Amino acid sequence: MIHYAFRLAWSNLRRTQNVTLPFFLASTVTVFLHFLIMTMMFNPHVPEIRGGATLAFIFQLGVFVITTFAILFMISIHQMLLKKRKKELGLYTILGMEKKHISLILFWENAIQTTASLALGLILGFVGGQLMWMILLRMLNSPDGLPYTFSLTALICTTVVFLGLFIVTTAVSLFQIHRINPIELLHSEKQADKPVRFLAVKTGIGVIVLGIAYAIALLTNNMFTALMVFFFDCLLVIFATSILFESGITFFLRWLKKRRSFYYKPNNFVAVSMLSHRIRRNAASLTTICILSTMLLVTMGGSAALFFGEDNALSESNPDDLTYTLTGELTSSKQDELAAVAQQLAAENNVVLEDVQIYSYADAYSKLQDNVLSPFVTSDYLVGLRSAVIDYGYDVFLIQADTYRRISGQTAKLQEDEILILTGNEQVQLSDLTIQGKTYAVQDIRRDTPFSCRKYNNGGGTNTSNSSELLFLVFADEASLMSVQDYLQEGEWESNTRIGVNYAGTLEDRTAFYEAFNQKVRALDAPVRYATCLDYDRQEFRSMYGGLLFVGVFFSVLFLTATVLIIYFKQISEAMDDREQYLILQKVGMDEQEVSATINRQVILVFFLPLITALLHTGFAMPLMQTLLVALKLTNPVFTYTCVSICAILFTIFYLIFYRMTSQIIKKEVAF
Amino acid sequence: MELLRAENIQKVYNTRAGGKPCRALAGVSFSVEAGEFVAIMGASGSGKSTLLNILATLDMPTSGEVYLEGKSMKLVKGKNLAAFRREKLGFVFQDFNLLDTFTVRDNILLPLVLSRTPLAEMQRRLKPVVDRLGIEALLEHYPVEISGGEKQRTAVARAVITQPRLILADEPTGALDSRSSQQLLSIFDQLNKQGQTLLMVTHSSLAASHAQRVLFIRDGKLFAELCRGDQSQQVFYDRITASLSMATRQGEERL
Repeated sequence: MIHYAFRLAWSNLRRTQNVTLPFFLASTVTVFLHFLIMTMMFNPHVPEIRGGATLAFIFQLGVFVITTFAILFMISIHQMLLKKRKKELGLYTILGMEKKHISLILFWENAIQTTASLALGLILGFVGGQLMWMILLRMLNSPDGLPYTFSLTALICTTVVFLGLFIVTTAVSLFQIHRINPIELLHSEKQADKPVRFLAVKTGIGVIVLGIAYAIALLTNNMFTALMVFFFDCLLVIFATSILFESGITFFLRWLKKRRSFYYKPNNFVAVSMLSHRIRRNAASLTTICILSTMLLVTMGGSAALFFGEDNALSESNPDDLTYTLTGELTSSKQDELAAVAQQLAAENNVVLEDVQIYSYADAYSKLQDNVLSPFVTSDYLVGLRSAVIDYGYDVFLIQADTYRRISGQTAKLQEDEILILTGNEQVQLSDLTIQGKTYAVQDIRRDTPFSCRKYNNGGGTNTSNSSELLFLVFADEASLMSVQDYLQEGEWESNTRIGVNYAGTLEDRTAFYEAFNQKVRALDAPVRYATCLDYDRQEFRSMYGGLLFVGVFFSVLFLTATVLIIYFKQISEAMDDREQYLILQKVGMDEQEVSATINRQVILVFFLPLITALLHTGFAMPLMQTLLVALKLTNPVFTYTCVSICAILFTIFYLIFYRMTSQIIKKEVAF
Repeated sequence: MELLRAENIQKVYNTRAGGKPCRALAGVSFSVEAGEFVAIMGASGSGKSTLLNILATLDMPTSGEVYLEGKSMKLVKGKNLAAFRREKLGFVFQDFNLLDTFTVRDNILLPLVLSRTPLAEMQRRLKPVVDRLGIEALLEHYPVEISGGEKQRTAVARAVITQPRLILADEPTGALDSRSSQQLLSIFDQLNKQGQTLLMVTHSSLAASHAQRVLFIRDGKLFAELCRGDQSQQVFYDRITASLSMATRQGEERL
């Protein structure tokens, strides 16, 4: 019997190859991706890559997501396929097979599928892994020569995961076989879905929930809240999508049916009826397709934006090639000394010194509301979804007129109650400024001073011109500065020194200069509180974003495989279900053209409703995404939106091609 | 007036590569007058369903021709065939062939919708048809919710609503209980009395006894014809069964 069951299982798989083959391919791809990322994770050379620690974390995250997704995906596809086969299994029982025989057949089928896809996936993973490793190193701008190593642990992990899945899915199948009775099996497909109840209420709830979700995405303006609400917002969107796809489509179809002049047209007539007939099943799969597409677009767009936005992110955090923030002030003789040291080291290391900027200042993170400047208190951080950090927060640098004159070489004659504002932020437009009840006249706002215009960005600090939160206030003398400092720093009395150095040369010379200069700075009395080095950060960024893009592409391939498979199965199984109906229609007098028009109408809904919804979701997710990306220093929204839009266009093109392909298959399936 | 004429129809099915071709119809000729109710009887495999499919333009004869109102059906091509089928012919099938996705109302209206009939016209035609068939109360139900007899009456309604020249019925009582069968046959009688031409394929003598003329088919050939004339249905029924048993005997002897 075992042998016989095996033969039967094998012939079943071959007979239904338009279902088994895509499933086999999809599981192979899943195994392949899983094994690949496992191997990467266990590669002992990852820490040797610069930024390897970040990369390792990204890989761990990737493994977690892929494993979770693989489990959910495989089990649900399995369930779906089993449901489709109930009729066939019922027939076996009637032909006299016992349940244990059917179980044996199902066991073998599953075993053959699993073994084949596991073997092929692992082989592909091993071969493709080498290539992927090279691509990864290239993306990370890493030195070549770090070897790709085969990992037995990875092999075992992947095998365990997929064998586990095999056991679970087989167990589920067997359990279902034992629960069913044959008569029920034979008729299980005929029933129409139960009508959706509480239609208006459900549609209303769906619209409201979606509105809330979108509103949250649009209103959140800071990454703290964004991080907190992101997951919750995703759940809201999924919930709203599923409820709207079910009740919303029903609502819409019923409305169409009521419009008799529309409904009683040949093509609409059949398409509308068929769609409302299995509205629930439709809704479930449309939701899945939509959510998967959205996930794909967000992942792909986000990681692409990060990777290709590297320069943007770099210039955000690195206004100069090299910057230091020292705690405490540096006397002017020390400042001159350091500038001379820089000159000397530059000459020694063959780099051209472009600019050395050293000045002391007092800074305080403050709140500028209208024209009143006040200290920033903790309770200001979060007000609902919005944070005052984004709306009113400014990093205020207090400097004396002397410093201004020395650095900019420009004159500034200020009275005791006059100030000068230096900022790259175009939105700051003040004629007077009130601090602690005292109103200062703003003599001028200067936007192109060496304070805010640095080599790599126009904000001088952490943000680009339009959103720069860096604000320099120039005071007449030390006395007037100190009273403001006392107020804004709330009595902490802290002064800092900023050093900014720019230089040109080959990477090796630059690195040598940086190392030599760094030693000198670290040897100063004033301790270094914060430092940035462009060359160094570039490598860090590349490693992190390259890793993210790598994993992002992984996820996208995974999501795409799942989306394609679900759409394909949905189409093919419906085509089979509908075959009989179309035959009747043709007997009663529908011509081929009308049949194909009807099919097109249905297919269009299945394809384009989720696509359009996914694009809409992605559109609303973009601001939230952008807010999160700010945490990773990607502050240019236009760039992010462009990246996501390009991904969306590419995805849509792919989707259209796939649409053409499947509608051909369906037409073949229902041919008279 | 002659409505339908079949001339020497042959149908040969080519079995799979290398197999012997199978002859389902070996030259069948007959004609149907307008207003007639004709039954074609035969055992399973006698070729009667093939014949009906050819008359219905669902299948093409290997040779021979079918004329409807003197016009050869061969001349009706491709796209027009569907419209032709829809407008000139009405179908009643053994397994009803109703669409599960439509309500009874929409099932009945289907051919009219396909012909792009105006809404008002559809409403106007629907009313008398459903009244006559007694399915008015079922209009909003789905096929899964109604009985076999009701399904078949729905199918009849769908067939007559286009006011076809000819109604083709393929074993219409095959899936019905005796009461529903009786009901359906009396509906056919009634339709016929109103001038509707009917052609029914059946192996039930009772069903055939409602016709005015019965053609017997065996091994792809017509071999006998009975006319009811002025006889009652009961007498005609007895004659049909007698002919059948004789035919069966002959058939066995030949073997």
